[in-house]
Amino acid sequence: MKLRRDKPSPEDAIARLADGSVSEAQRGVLERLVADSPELAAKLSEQRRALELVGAVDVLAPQRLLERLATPASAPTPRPRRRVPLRGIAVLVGAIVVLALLAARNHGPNVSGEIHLALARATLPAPAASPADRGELKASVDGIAFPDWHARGWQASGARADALDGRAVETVFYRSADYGRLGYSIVAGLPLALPSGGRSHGDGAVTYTVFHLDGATVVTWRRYGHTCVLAARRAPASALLALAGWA
Amino acid sequence: MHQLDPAGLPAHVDRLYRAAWALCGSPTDAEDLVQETFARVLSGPRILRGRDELAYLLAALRNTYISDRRRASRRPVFTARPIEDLPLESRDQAGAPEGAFEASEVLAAIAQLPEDFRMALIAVDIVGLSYGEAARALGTREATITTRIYRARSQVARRLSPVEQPPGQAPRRREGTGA
Repeated sequence: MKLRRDKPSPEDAIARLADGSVSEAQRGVLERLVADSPELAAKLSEQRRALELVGAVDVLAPQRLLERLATPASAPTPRPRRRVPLRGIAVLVGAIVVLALLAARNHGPNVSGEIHLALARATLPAPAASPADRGELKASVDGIAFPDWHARGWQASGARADALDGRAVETVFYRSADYGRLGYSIVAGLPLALPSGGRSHGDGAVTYTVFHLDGATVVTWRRYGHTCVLAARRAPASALLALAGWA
Repeated sequence: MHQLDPAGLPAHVDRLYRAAWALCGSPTDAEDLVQETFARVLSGPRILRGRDELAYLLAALRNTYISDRRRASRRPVFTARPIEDLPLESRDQAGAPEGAFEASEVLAAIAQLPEDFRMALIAVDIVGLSYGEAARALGTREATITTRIYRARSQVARRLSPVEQPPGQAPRRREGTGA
């Protein structure tokens, strides 16, 4: 007979704390436990390290697989010969898959790589405030400037420049005394596809999508047709949404 | 209860491909596995009972993997051959932080986990299911999934932790899988 555990082990709780799947009430208790225990802190760090590694895996299905999927007849497992009507249905289903695959591919890369960059370390100094506009920094992507949130308690602290699937991605990092660090990335070119599962918020003109990834809170939206991402580990979604509204 | 919509499947191809690679440890085998899974799923109407498409597809992927392995009984879970022609469309690694690993290394480390741990980590951390969804998709209890995920992550983190070197030498990696 197998024994059933009624209470989760500390390790189970640490796993959930690392990926943010604990309730707010549990989070507070767990964070206090971790603060008092170097052993638990090390375990939490290890869990987060794994999440970071796995979350950075951004491999896409190769084009040849998409082409193979679009050809039902080339399935590796031979199927019994179908009668004509069923074959017709299979061809129709295949055609639907082809169209949908192509439609999905036309969206290009999704926003997950950009999120990784928004959570990465800075490699460049923080841009200075723009002399021309008090609300902006001297950093921009395709003419879209990064905001200066100094007056809102967020000081620009660093930056980085990357290429994501051939597109330029600029990220500026900000720090706040209350919420720590956040990254704000803007990707050049056409907007990226959004991951599924987010929660949408709108202010009438712009739709903001909020989701959680690898223990981070992420808000993404579009400015002048460009994908923007705010990502932070400590700041709540409400704080990020408020900043996004002022971007 | 609703019927699986074939038109919705392409949205999941990338995630399933990553899951398949982590499951079988090879990008080439992953392509075959995803293709066969899709062929099976599309071979007839599928009724989903309270599960979303992604959870259903993950279960189908796992079942296909298991039945293929039983039928073939020909390959180890992980093949540690060098992977030099990866069809990666990953970000530019030039600006990656110190200690960053190639996607292939991470997937290879996952592929070496015991199967139960591997499936739990794939379901939650790669496919993105909740703990509850993962438990239902894999036919086990949520508490069991949680424990497996904790252990799987610990093993992955340890396998991919950089080995400390004396000052003046570049850090080397503990794991040498295909890198």
